[in-house]
Amino acid sequence: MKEQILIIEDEADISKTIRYFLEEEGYDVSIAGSGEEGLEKTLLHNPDLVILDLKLPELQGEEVCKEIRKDKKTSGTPIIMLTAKDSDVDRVVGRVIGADCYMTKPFELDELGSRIKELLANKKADHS
Amino acid sequence: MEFFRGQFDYICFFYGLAFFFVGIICFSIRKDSRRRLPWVMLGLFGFTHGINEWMDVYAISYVESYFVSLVHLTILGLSYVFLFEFARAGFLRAGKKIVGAWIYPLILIPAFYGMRYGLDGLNAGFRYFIGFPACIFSGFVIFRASGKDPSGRRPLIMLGVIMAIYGIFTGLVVPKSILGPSQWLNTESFYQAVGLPVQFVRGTLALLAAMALWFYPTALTNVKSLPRRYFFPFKPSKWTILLTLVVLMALGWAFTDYLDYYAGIQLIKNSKADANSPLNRMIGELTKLEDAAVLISKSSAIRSLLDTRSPQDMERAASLIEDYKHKYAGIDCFLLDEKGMPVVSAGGNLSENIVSKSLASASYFKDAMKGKTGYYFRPGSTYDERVYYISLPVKGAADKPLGAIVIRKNITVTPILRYRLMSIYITTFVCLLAIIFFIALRRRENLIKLIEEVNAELNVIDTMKTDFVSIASHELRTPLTSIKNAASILSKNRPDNRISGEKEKELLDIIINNANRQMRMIDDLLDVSKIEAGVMDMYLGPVDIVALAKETVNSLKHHTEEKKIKMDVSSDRESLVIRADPEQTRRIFTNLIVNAIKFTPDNGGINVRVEEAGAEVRISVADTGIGISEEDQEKIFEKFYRGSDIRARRKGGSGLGLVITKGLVEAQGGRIWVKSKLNKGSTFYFTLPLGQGQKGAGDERANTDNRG
Repeated sequence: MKEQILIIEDEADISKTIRYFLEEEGYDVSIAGSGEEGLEKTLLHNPDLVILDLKLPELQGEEVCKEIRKDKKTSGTPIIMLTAKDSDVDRVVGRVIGADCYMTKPFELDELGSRIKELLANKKADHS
Repeated sequence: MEFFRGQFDYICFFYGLAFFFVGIICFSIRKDSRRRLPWVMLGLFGFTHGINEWMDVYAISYVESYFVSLVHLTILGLSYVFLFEFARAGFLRAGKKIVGAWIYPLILIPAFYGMRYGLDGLNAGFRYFIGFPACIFSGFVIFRASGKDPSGRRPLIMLGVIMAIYGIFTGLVVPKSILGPSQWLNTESFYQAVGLPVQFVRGTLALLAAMALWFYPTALTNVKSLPRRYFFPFKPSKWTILLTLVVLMALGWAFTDYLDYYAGIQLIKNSKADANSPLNRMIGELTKLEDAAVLISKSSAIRSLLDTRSPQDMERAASLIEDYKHKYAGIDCFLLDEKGMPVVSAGGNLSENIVSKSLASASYFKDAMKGKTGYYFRPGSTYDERVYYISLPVKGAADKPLGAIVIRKNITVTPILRYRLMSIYITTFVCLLAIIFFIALRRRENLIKLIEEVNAELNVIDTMKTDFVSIASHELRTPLTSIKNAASILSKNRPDNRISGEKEKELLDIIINNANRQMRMIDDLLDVSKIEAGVMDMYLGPVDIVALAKETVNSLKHHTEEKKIKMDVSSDRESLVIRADPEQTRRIFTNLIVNAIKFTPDNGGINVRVEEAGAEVRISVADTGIGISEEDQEKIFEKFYRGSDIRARRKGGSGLGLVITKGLVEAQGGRIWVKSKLNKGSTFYFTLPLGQGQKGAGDERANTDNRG
């Protein structure tokens, strides 16, 4: 069965390109355009991994991350945080709020791919 | 009234102090308020006029030499010239050139012509030809400025009116001289008619002027330097300072009057010093006068005159008094009945008004009626009148006072006056110290407040800058991410070409669109930095603003067709030509109209209206869109603010459009604002100056907001 990845990102072009890339890599990809929609889809479908943009309108990425961590069902779901801010403060915030790793825009798609592979492998190891 | 006459020196002192206050307060007015009125000139007037008045105090106590008198008068003339220059420069700053510097010879020549009639003539000349017009003129200028200064309106109106009234009392009521109307209207005739020294009226006006200035909003706020040390944990309000100064001046007066009394009694009665000292010579003279008064008061002629008032007794008394007058040169002698009315008198210069007036309120009369010897010293209402009074009761049967005999003598210099003068100097010194102290306190307080304000402002600017950098980097990285992702997918695709042609086209479009988006972002950022640096180039030329509005609306019509928005232009004018930059003005129109289209739902309406409003043209762009909340209305002209409403955020755009629009309007000397109701629609207004006949654009360029 294909592993499910959810992209929560308000910039349609970015989510579209990530999706094309990940589909080529053999994942089942769905997209949410806002924080609320993303949270809803995460809790409903329990994807294997979430790619989350930090800067979202209304419900911010960090809030979404906290909510995902709160729910027992999804608390172990790997989260990759996308951010445009390069400062150290934001990296720390990424740790504090509980993302598994972060990537600064613009990033290498290959790097994103290998991070995803790594995280999914770790998850499987934890479960077995 | 007699009381005020006895305090003449103190009146002149407080008059001078009031003008010194005026000077100090004028110099403490904040610099930005000096753009409207040249307060420094009024301050110089205050200082010089105050010094002039203090020289009067000196002139009362000592006789001025001709040279000192000349210096005294020069200072008076100079003070009026400062006042005249204040009014003249004030008019210039209001943009009206009415009187050039050529006026000075015109007023100075007739003023100095008064010199022909001696120093008093010169004094009158200064007052008539410089002082009077300067006061009226400056009163008018201040009154006029009150209309343009809403926060300082009341103090300015008060000050203007006071200056005009002061002009009448300083410029028309002058010392007696042969020059013109000063023969009839002068300080002496004023005293005779009103019963008050004119200096009292002038001093009161000066005090009122100082108070009006005191309550001018930016007075006492000129911050130059911080007092090095500060031990006083007390923040004085303006009222506290005022009250303290009034108390100090009252104490100063009480002290002055006490020293007067002390000198009068103690010096004359108890001096055991050298018999030839000027003091003792004077005391000797006064003692002789007292002896004379004793003799006269015991004379039977005087006593029976008060009893009978028969013509024979009157004659006897008069000849007796005449005898004494010959014996003691330079005295006046007169007899008062029990009501204080003069009965008989002798003496050359006893003026008629004294003869007809009751002197019941005079202290020497009251003392005599108590059966004591009365001593009284009066500085007089002019400098030459320094008079000493001795009074003795005229006793009838059973030692009951029937009236009083009064001897009066003019004295050139008296130790008593010097005592008064000393006290006045001490009061001056204490008051000035208090003023300096208070101003130092207030300065410090104001400086701390200013530092706090500046700090808060800097913090805001700092946060804004950090936000700007992080938002700008976000806005630039976002399209770059899409471009990079799409390009790397396409690049990988190369060897086996797994991606469909449709998908390939989509990815290429993503690259092109995001490259365009990034280019727009960079252009906008450059424009914003140009506007903030104040270097936005404006090429002003004639622009038909009505035609430009119609043109822009037509060129943007195709954007409205899809949403079926009705868009039109209305104006009362067929055409209206202003001086503006045609390209940048078109951008203003385009930005506002594109915004309106963006936020107006289907079947809505947009109206662009052009109207003339005074020296400006006012353009409004009204839409029936989603509106802007009141909270957001203040922020939409800030960088990257796209409203807290999620609907607005989805519309895209750099978030800099309105910032640039505002910059373009302000760089051309206009203003921009918005009126809006949520879900009802918004109307953006902007103005541009008509600018007819204006040539340079340099000044207008300076209007670009460069605080950021």
